[in-house]
Amino acid sequence: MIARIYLDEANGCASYLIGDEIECKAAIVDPLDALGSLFYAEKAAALGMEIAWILETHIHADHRSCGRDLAALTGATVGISAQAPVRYPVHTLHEGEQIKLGSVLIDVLETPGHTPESLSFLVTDFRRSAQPLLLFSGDALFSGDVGRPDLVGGVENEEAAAKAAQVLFHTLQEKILPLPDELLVLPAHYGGSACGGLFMSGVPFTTLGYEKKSNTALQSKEEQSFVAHVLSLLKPPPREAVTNRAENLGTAIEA
Amino acid sequence: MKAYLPQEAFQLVNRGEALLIDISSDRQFAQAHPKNAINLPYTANGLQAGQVEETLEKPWILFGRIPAVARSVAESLAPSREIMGYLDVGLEGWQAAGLPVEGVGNITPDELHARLQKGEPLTVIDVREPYEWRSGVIEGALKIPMGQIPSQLASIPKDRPVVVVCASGNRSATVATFLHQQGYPRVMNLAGGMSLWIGAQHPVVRIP
Repeated sequence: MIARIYLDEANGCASYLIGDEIECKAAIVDPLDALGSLFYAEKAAALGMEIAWILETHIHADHRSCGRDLAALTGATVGISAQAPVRYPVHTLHEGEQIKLGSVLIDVLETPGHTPESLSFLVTDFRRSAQPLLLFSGDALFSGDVGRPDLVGGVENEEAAAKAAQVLFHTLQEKILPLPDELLVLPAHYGGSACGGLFMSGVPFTTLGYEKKSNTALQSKEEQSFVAHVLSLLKPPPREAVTNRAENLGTAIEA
Repeated sequence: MKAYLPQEAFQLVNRGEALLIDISSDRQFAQAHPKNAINLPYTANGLQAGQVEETLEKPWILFGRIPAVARSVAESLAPSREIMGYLDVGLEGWQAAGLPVEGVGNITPDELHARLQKGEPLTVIDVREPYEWRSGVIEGALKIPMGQIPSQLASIPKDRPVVVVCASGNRSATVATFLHQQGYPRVMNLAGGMSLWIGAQHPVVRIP
C-alpha cells in the first residue's frame, strides 16, 4: 500500500492519497480546492497511480472540495454518504460498504455528529496484515479534539448543536473507540482549523490509543458531560460555512 | 500549448518530425503505451531522464494517461526545450482513434507463484544488482543485472515466456519493455517485485 498526506497549510486542512502498488489504483480522500484538481492528478501520475475513487468524509463547511473537478479530469468515481443531499451524480456510500483497491480494503463507517452525513474510512493493507492500519476520521476525531457539532444546525442554534454533540458522543464511544489502539488516525483537519474545538493539535496525525489517553473530549464517559465539554470549547465558526456547504452539495445558486 | 489529436500526432511521429514522449510511470508504460512512444516517466522530481541522446534530436509531443497532466508538464518544460504540444487524449482516446497500442503485461506475485508451481515453462530473470540477491531469489531465476541485459540477450531464450523481476517492479518494467522491443514475443513484469513476492511469503532461495 502507499499513502500520502497533502496539506492546505493556510486552512489547516488535510487530504490523502492511498493506493495499491500492484493494481496502481488509488483513492483521494477529501480533495481540497485550495490545492486544485490538477495538483492531485499530477501527484497520482508521478506515483504511477490511476485515481479510481474520490472519497469525501463529509460535506465540508470550511472549504471547497475539488472532488467534482477531479472526477471530471480523471474519470474517477466520487463516493459520498447516502445521507448527503448532493445535487450531482455520485456513488452513495453506506455503513458496511467495502471499497477494494487491489489488496487495500476500505471499510465505510457512518460516523455522524459533526454533520449527519459524516463517514470515516477504515483502511486495511492486506499485503501486510489483516488488522486495519489507519482510519480516515474526517471531522469526527481529530488529533487533540473532536469535530464541532454546530455547523449544520447553525452556530446560534444551541439545541441543534447539543443534539449533534449527543450523536457524536455515540459515534466516538460505540464506533471509533472500540477499534484497535494501534490504529493511525488521519483526520481532515489539524492545528488552526475552525472545524474542531480549542484543543486541535498542530500534529496532523495521531493514533487511536494516544487519543484515548490524551484527548480531553474522550475522557467524558457520560453523554451529558461530553456535550457540555464540547460546547464549552467552541471557537468562531469557519467563514462562509453555509455557502461552502451549499457549494460542496451542488446546491449553491450560481451568481 | 498546442493540443494534438491522436491521428495528427501519430502522423508527425511517423514522418519523423516529432517524438511521442509518454510521461506515464515505467510500470504503466510497460503495461500499455502508444506504439513508437518513448517513456520518460513524470515523477515527483520532474521528468526522469531516460534515453536522453535519442530524445534530444527532435521536438516532443507529450502523452499522459491524464491529458491535463501532460499539458501541465509540457508547459513547465517548454522554456527549456522544444515542445510541440501534448496529446489531448489518454490511452483510451488513442485506442478509440484506431491507433496501435503496445505493451507487456504485468503478472502478480500470486499468479507467478501459481504458474511456477504448475511447472509452466517460464524464464524468470532477476535484474537486480548482485548485492540485492542476498534478500533471496526466485528458484531457477536467471540473475542478470539490468545493465548487463543488452550484452546477455543470447542467454535468454525466446521460445518461452519471460518474467522480469526487480525489487519493486520499476526497473523490471523498463527491462520488460526493452526485451519486448528486442523481439521477445511474451514478456511480463512482476508487479511489486521481490518486495511483494517475499512479502507474500512465496519461497526464495538464499544466495550464500
